[in-house]
Amino acid sequence: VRTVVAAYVEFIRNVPLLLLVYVVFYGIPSVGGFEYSATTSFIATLAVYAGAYLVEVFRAGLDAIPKGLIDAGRAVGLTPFQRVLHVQLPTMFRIVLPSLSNAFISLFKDTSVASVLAVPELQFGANWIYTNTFRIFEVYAVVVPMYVVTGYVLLFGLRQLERRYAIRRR
Amino acid sequence: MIAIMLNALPFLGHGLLVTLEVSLIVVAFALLCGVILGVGLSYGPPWIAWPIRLVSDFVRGVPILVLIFAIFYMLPLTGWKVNNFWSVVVALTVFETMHVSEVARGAIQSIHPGQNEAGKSIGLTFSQRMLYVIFPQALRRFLPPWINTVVDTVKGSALISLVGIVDLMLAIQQVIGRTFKPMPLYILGCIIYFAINYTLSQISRRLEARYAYVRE
Repeated sequence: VRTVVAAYVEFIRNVPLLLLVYVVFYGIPSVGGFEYSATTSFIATLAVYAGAYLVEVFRAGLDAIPKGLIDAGRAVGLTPFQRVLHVQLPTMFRIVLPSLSNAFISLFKDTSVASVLAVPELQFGANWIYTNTFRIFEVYAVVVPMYVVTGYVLLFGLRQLERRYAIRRR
Repeated sequence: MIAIMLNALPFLGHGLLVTLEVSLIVVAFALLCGVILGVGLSYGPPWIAWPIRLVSDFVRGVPILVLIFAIFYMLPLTGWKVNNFWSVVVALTVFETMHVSEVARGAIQSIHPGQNEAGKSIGLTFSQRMLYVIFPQALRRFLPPWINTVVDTVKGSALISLVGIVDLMLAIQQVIGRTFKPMPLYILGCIIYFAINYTLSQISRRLEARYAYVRE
């Protein structure tokens, strides 16, 4: 299992998202003999792509759990499953929250790649307006702030969450 | 399947070169500008540090694809005649510079301020302190995340195919346009990109392991 997951993470992290998008949308249906919509295919691709990054985040989080906590769980007689559920997972989530929000922000930015499959998202809309009006400056003067503002609103919300669940050290 | 891949290989060479060329230029410029901006962020007076912070946060908040399109279409509006190639190089460079500057800032700020003060007290000038005191120590914190930005550059360079520059990605698309066999070509593309980036990631990991023994 470990090798399979490692191979998945390494492969996805070292291949451009654009190529993966093409593979899933054009490549796989050409071999598999079935079709799906551009939106479905892009969501699946992005999920697989972001998943690989999250695996790394969670792995680092699990590594960062103080050994004493797990030992303490063992000492009060928790079963291995209970230890994972009540000790490791909650601690891990609090540790990884900052990296998690970074990963989510990248994910949000990567959605712009969907425009290559004509998924009607923001970048595609920008291109569409451009080809119809040729008003390039106005289009990007609006689209760029839209991305920045949405990104920072997201970031702000996630930071609040982080502050709330931050591990306070005494 | 293997036969299709081998047949396609000669047609991808040029594209691969373009991908490598773009990545190399971008990485070189981004390294130079990024380190300068990183120093500005860490040691500059507010009127230098603030504008850098603002631009950096802004650029890093925009998807790289949007940035490529925006610069590709907007540069000609300024009256500056640039070809496709250089406009995407500018876009990628701006994006990566900002990431490198953050990496440099992190590395510089991880050095204990006492080091800088010690340099001052023995009368080193600012550039001497940077060159002989701060940079050699910050280097080991800088290298691993910097190589990650190099990997991001190679991956991001695939997006330049969307403005019609024949890089590896577009070369693959062109061969598919002739053979109508997408899967073998895409797999080949994955292998090539993976080979480049995995090598870089391994170097980064090696460096990280090598420098890990130093603990402050």
